[in-house]
Amino acid sequence: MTSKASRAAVYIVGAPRPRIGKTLLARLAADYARTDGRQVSVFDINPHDPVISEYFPRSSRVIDIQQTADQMALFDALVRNDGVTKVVDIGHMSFQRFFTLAEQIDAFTEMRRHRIEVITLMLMDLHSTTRDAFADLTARFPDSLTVPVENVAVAPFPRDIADGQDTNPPFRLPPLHLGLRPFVANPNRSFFDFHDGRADGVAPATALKLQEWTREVFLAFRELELGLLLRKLRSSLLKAS
Amino acid sequence: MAKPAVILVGADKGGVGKTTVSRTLLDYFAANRIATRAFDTESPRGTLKRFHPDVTEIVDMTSVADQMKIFDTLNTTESSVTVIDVRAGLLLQTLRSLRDIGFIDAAKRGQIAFTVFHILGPSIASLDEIAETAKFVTDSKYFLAKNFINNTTFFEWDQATYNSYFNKIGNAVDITIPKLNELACEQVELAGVPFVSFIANKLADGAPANYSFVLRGYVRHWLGNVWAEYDRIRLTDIVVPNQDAVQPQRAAQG
Repeated sequence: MTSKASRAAVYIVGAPRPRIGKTLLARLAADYARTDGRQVSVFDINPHDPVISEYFPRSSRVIDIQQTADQMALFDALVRNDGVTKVVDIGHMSFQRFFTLAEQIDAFTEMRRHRIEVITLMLMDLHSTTRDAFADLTARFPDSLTVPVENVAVAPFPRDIADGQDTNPPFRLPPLHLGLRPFVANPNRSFFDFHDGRADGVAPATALKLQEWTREVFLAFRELELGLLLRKLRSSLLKAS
Repeated sequence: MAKPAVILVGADKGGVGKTTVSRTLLDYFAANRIATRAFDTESPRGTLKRFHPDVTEIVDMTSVADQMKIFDTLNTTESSVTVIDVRAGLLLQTLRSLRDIGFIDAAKRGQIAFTVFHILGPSIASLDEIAETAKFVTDSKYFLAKNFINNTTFFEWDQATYNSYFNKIGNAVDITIPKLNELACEQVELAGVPFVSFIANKLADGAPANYSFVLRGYVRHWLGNVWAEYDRIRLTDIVVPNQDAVQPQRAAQG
C-alpha cells in the first residue's frame, strides 16, 4: 500500500457550537494537505458569514446547505475520487442539516465505495449540545472515523470522551500564543508558508514560533492519517484471519 | 394458477400524481420480483409508457376493444399483476364499465384481486370523489393516497371533514406519498427512466448515466419511504397472497 492510500481525501470539520475554532482547524487541514503536495478544494458552509473562503479565494466555494444546487455542488464533489483533498468547514448553524442530509443520501457509504478516506473532526467542549452531537454522530456513522478535537486555547475537553476513544485518540490543537494570533488571522498569510519558515516582514523569533506551532499541528495530522492506515490494516488482517 | 391481480390507479382530477404512483408501484413489484404489466390510458400519448416502455401498453379505456385487451387476457398473461393508470376524469367511468362487464362481481366472488389506489387532490372535491368511488369497491382493497410529491398542502381540507368522509368507508386505508425534492423530481422527469434506474445512475438502455449523487440520494430516500408505505399495507400479500416473502432489492442501492 502506498502512502497515498492512507491519506484522508475528505476532512469534515464541524461543531454544533460557535467560536470553538472550526475555521482555524479547517484552514490547518487544507494547508497540511497542500504542504503534502496535494491539490485542495475547500467548502465553506457558512453562507451568512463565510470566513475560510477569504483564506482560499481561488480554491474555495461558499455553500448554503439549504439550497439543492449547493448541496449538489458539495456532495457531488465529495463523492468524486479525483485525487483532490476536500476540506469542509461547517458552520454551527449548518451542522445538523449537513449530517442529516449526508445520512439521508448515504454520502459516507458512497465515499467509502469510491475508496475515499473521510475524517470528521469535531471540536469539543463541555456543553451538553456538543457532547450529545458527538455521541449522535458516532452512533449514526459507526463506520466512519469521527475524531474529537481538543482546542486547548478555547475550551476544556470532556475527559470521559477521551477515555472512550480506544482507537482514535483525540486530536489536540495546541495553544497558540496571543502574540501570534494577528499573523494567523491575516488572510494574506498561510500555514503553508509558516510551515516552511516563510513569513515575510515577521521578526525571526516570531516566524520560528509560528513554524514550530504549525509543525506540531501538521505532525498531529500526520499521526491521524497514520492511525487511519493502521486501523485499515488491522481491519484487513482481521478479515483475512 | 393464482388469481390475477388488477390495480387501478386513478383520480378524477389531473395533475395529482397518478402516474407517479403507478411508477412507484411498477418499481416496487419489480424489486419484489412480481411480474407486472401496465396499461397507460393517456391515449394516444402515454406518460407511464415513457418511463416503463417495456411493460406498458397505451390503451383507450373508452374503447371496448381495448377493454377486451386488458380484461380478457387476465387469465392468460404471464404477469401476476396488471396496473392500470387511469386517465384523469375517467376513474368513475372506468369503474362503471368494470361493473357493466361483470369485473366487479368477479372481484366480489374472489376470482380477481382488485385494488384501487385513489389519488387525492387538495380540494374538497376529492372528498366527494371518495364517496362516489367507494360504492364500487366495497369488496375490494381501497387505498386513499395523499400525494405530497408536488408539495400539495391539502389546503381545503379540515381533518374533521376528512374523517367524516373517511369513516363512512369501512374498507378504505389511507397512505401517504411524501414530498420529493423538486429538483430531483424534475431531473427524473427529464431523464425519463424508472426511479430505480435513476437511483442506480443508469440511462433507459442500461448504460451508465451521470445523474447527481445528491439527487439520486433524494430519490432513493423518498422511494424507500413510499415502499415502506406499500410494505405497511402488505401490498405483495394482496396481489400475490401465497408468495414466499421476498426481500425487495431496495431501490437498487449501491
